[in-house]
Amino acid sequence: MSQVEHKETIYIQDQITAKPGKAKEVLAAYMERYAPAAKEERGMTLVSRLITPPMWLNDQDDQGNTLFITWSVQGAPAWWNMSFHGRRNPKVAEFWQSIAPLIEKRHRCFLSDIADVESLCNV
Amino acid sequence: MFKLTKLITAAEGADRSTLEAALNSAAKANGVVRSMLNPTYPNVYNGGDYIWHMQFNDEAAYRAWQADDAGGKAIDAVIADPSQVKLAESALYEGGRSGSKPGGLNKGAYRTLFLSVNKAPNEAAIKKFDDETYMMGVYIHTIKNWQVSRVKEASGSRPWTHIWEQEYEDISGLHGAYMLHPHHWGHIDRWYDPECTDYMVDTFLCHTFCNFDGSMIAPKG
Repeated sequence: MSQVEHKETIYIQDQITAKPGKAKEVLAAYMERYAPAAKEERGMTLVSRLITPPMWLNDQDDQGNTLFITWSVQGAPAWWNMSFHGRRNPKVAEFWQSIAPLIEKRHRCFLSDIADVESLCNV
Repeated sequence: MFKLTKLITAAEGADRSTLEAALNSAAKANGVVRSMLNPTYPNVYNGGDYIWHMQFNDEAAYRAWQADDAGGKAIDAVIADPSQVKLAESALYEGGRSGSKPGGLNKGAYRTLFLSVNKAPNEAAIKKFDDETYMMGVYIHTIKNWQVSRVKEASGSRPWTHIWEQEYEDISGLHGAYMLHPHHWGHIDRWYDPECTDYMVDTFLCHTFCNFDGSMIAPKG
């Protein structure tokens, strides 16, 4: 790995669309069974938990809420540390499998501040 | 070019010089137009003790070499001998899409990744993966020569589907820019990450690298 300082904040965002009426249950499972190890073992810092629409859609609806849960790590080496720990821990995969019946779709993406793009690419 | 790469782990106590001589001899048999046998660097991952790479003008030349007592048949016997070889990961492939940056790098560090796409939802996803893998060479400045290929025949720990080869001026180009560039961790790694919904590459990989003297990727001059 490079010896340069890695000051850029990298964001890890989970976008999870719950089945109608299931968003609370998804969020609770995420915070109880995913977040603790993410913080303590993988070095991830919870940045925000956002929801759209900003109300709890119920099970009489034909659609569910989408949760945007965002984490951060500092620099690419920390990103790899986060990722390797996730791959080595079978509980991570088990968690995602366990909530699959509660969700319509999900997507994970990795982001940075636009101001950090140049330094992130200057490696 | 039609290519054969084997990642060879010597048996414990094997006479390495005898093993190397057998591999070098087979690489001199008819049909081989370019070859490399080099010990791997420390810290490879499932990478074996040697990278043995050979190239042929086409598949027919490879098949003739394979049937030759001095070529493939001799090597099959060596690899089947547990006193000499513990494990051989093998991939046979037509060289796929490749790129080279100006400067004609002909010496440095060669890296190859054996991977198995075994959870792909469709061919379109695999094509996208192929294209994005190729683009790593465009974006990451330390990659000087690169090629992504689909495997025709494989053996070893997995049914290998792809070979991703790169050449660098030195190994720091792999451990540094290749790992740190956002095209890697922020974009293409989602195919490898079980937490991402695009995940489709078996997490068991062969990540291995060695010195090279004479490019195995750039067009043969």
